[in-house]
Amino acid sequence: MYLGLLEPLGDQFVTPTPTSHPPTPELLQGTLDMLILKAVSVGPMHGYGILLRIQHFSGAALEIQQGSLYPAVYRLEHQGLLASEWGTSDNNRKAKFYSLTPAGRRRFKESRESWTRLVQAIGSVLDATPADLPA
Amino acid sequence: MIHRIRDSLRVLLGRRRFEREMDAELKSHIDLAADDLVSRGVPRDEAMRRARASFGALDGAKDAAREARGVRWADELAGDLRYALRTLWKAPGYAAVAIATLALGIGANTAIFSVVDGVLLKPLPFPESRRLVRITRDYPMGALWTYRSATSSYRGVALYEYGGEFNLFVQGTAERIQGRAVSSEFFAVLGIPPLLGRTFREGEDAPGAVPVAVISEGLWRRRFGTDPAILTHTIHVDGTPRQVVGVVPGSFGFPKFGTEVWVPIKLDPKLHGSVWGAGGSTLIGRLKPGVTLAQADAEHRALITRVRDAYPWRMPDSFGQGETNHARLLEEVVGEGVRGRLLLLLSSVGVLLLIACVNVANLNLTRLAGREREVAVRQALGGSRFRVGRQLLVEQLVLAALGGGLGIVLAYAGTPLLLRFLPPDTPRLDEVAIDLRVLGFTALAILAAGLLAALGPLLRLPRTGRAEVLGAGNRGSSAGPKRARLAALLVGTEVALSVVLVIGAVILLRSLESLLNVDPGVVVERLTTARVTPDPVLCKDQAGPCTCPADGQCTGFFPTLEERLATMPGIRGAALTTMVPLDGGWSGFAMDIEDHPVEPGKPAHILGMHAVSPGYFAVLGIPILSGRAFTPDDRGPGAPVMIVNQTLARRRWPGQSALGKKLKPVWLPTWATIVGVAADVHYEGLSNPISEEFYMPMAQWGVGSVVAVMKSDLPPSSIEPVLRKEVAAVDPTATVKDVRSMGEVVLASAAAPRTTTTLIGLFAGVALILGAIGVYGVLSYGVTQRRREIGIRMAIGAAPVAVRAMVMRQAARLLAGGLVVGLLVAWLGASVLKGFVYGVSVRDPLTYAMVPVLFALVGFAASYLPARRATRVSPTEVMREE
Repeated sequence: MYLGLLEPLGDQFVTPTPTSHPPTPELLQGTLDMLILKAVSVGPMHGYGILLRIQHFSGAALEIQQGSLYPAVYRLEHQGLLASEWGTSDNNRKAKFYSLTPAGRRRFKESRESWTRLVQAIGSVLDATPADLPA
Repeated sequence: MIHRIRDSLRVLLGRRRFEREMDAELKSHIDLAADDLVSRGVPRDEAMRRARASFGALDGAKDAAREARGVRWADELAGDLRYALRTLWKAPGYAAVAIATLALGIGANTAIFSVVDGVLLKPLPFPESRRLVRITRDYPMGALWTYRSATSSYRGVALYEYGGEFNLFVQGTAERIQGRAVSSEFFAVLGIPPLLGRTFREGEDAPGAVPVAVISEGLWRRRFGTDPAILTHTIHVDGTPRQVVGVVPGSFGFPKFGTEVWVPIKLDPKLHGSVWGAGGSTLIGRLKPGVTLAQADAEHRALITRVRDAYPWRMPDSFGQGETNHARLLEEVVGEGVRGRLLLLLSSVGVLLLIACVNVANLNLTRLAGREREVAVRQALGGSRFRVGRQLLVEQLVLAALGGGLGIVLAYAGTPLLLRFLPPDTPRLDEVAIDLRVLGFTALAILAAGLLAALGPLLRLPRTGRAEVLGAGNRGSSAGPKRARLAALLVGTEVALSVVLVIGAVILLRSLESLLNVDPGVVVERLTTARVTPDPVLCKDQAGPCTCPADGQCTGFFPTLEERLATMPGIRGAALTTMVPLDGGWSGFAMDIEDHPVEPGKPAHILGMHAVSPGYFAVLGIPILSGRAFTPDDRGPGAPVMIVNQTLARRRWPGQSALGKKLKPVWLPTWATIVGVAADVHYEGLSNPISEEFYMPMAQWGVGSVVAVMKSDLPPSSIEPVLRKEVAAVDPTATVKDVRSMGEVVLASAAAPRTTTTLIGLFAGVALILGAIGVYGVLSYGVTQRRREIGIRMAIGAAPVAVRAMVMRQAARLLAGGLVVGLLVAWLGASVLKGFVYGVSVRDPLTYAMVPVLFALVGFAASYLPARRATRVSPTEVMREE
């Protein structure tokens, strides 16, 4: 099984914030990239907005450390998965907006598929009962 | 991947903009976060504070972001570079020595490689040059008929003659220029389009064709001022008026650089003598697509017998069967004659670079001792071993790059000198240039030099302790002895490499000496030679070739010339000959020899031919051993006479007199009688064995071009103007060329070994100096390291002599190891010199005895200063330093 998402991706990490309850599930390394790609896929957004979107989509279960966002975003842009452009935010502040490139769209699709497979695989391991043991 | 590199480059190039944008983006992030808080009722100031706090460390985020954009390594590299430059700036003495050493090594390599590249490696400047094949260079012109009709391997075949000079007579001025007679397909096969007009058409080499010529851009410029109407001009080439039909670009100089005119060969089946009589024409072809060289060669081998049978007379069965007669890529053949020498030069200069690198590595090691504490401090402060090592590496690469840059400048300045110094018959010298290919090689050399030079310190680096060094104070560290061993190893290597180079150079030098000591067989002093060539058609309406042997009626060019030369002021004697010894020419005739009949189908006797005027033997000082020299009465066809050299006489008629025996060219009916035996002369090069030669009177044999030899105390430069005037007075269309002393002729014949030996000698000299510097460096370092020990020894009564002896002993140890290894390597590798030496063994015992003595002297000189310094160590001062 392809476990690309488990590849080490530097020191970027996501930690539970002390305020959130129940505790934020710890994210596998590399998943932040996928979350960022997802957040941008619904429409161009600036860095701060990306954080809010992820937080919002996760039902406030995930809070990304602000300092680790930009390295991830920059790396994605470096890899040609994101494109950036200066624009104006809703409240009229100048901000850099990120959007998905075609390569980013492809990468997101791949990441998502392999994520689903991983979750299913782990799920079936966790759901296993003595009846599932080989004869 | 490409996207990433492009992105990194964009960021790096627009670095300021990248930083500005990143700052702006992070600021906007914090503003937006604050805005959110403000909208929830937090006061502005408090909102800003909380937004900043929740973001965390801004600088850490920025660093991580930079790294994400793939530019952190560049930042660190820039830091390393700055640090390296600063370090070098602070040690100008060290930097200067290291840079100069590397500049010398890299510069010499660049210059020599540019020659190797231009002469041997670059593709020939023809389209699809790797489809061009040299079929053979030993065919008669007539062979072209066979190949034209029978080949299926080539899109086209072409032929050019071996010889390459013509008289050009333009606007009243006669000039001997380089030119070639080529078959009509020549330019088409090579793929050279004309700059102007056209090249040759089919049939222009057939009997009855209108005489035409193609000239070079250079000649067009030089003699016709780039006259656009050149195609309406008629030029006189060897006296034949020829229509100029085309001009080819100046970059084209085939088969020889500097060729200025091409004329079609005369493929007339009726001209047996010129079409079949002379070999030495080169046949080339352009392969058809899909045909391999092996197929073409098989076809060539099969066609050889057809050419043999096409001769109008019977050729030996072995005609063309030599194992070396194979079709080969033109590209590989062109530089063949010089490949060995050039590669020898390139390897010597490579060894020199190696020595330079080891020298710098050694210098570094010594220097690292002084920087030990700095390195230790950096490591203690958290510089990882990797970072510190990288720093050292970058420093060496910077050093190598600076040295290499200077080396390139040296090579730019030196290559033109080198080109003038190389033998003028070296092929493709015009293609030698310091271009991107050569600079690519230089870049590799720089990289290798940097890595090699950094090797020493890097090897020692991991063992450079931390606390021990920091705490060691002035006493040096435990790394000292180990490093001293490495330094000794490096110097040993350096000495060994120098020994190899010096041995090679000395053997070549001794070989050159014995070559130049060969007695050429003529008295070289006070002789001036000059090639004089009248137009071949000059006497045609009077009597055949210009010496008019037939009826004695005409006043032929050569007899008149000889008379006038002899009466020139300051000339004590003059003679004419077809070639002087060692001028690079040799002409062999197939001869019948009395008592030595040749069976049909067997190869004829080939003897060296010389047509000379009566004064030849006297003027050149060639003794007549028996019989007589020629006299002015040896003329006319009635009773042809000849003189043979001693080798011929001895080999053909051992134990009897050759006088009265007979010789004749195979194609003539009349036998000539031998009237004299002359002493042997080296005609074909000092190192070649003497071949069988015969002389005949010029008055009995027509010649087209002569070398005039004049005996005089005047130098060639004062003879030349008078000579030119005299020749022009006999015939204004006759040309004079190569006016030089016989001594110059002899030297020029040894041009190739001379240049090789001089260059390798130069490299060896530099190697010796570098070796001395290496030994000096290690000894000085040793003395500095052992100051305390020396001081204590002297305090307890050691005499300065003993201290000096101690340093000298160390020098002797350093040298001895390198010397032994060097001698051994030289001995084992001596066979690379085979083919380059004459008169000495490639393992010449005298050289092997001399070189150690030389190195001992150099070692003594190199250890003198450090030894003296050691005796000046003041015990009290050393004690006080504690």
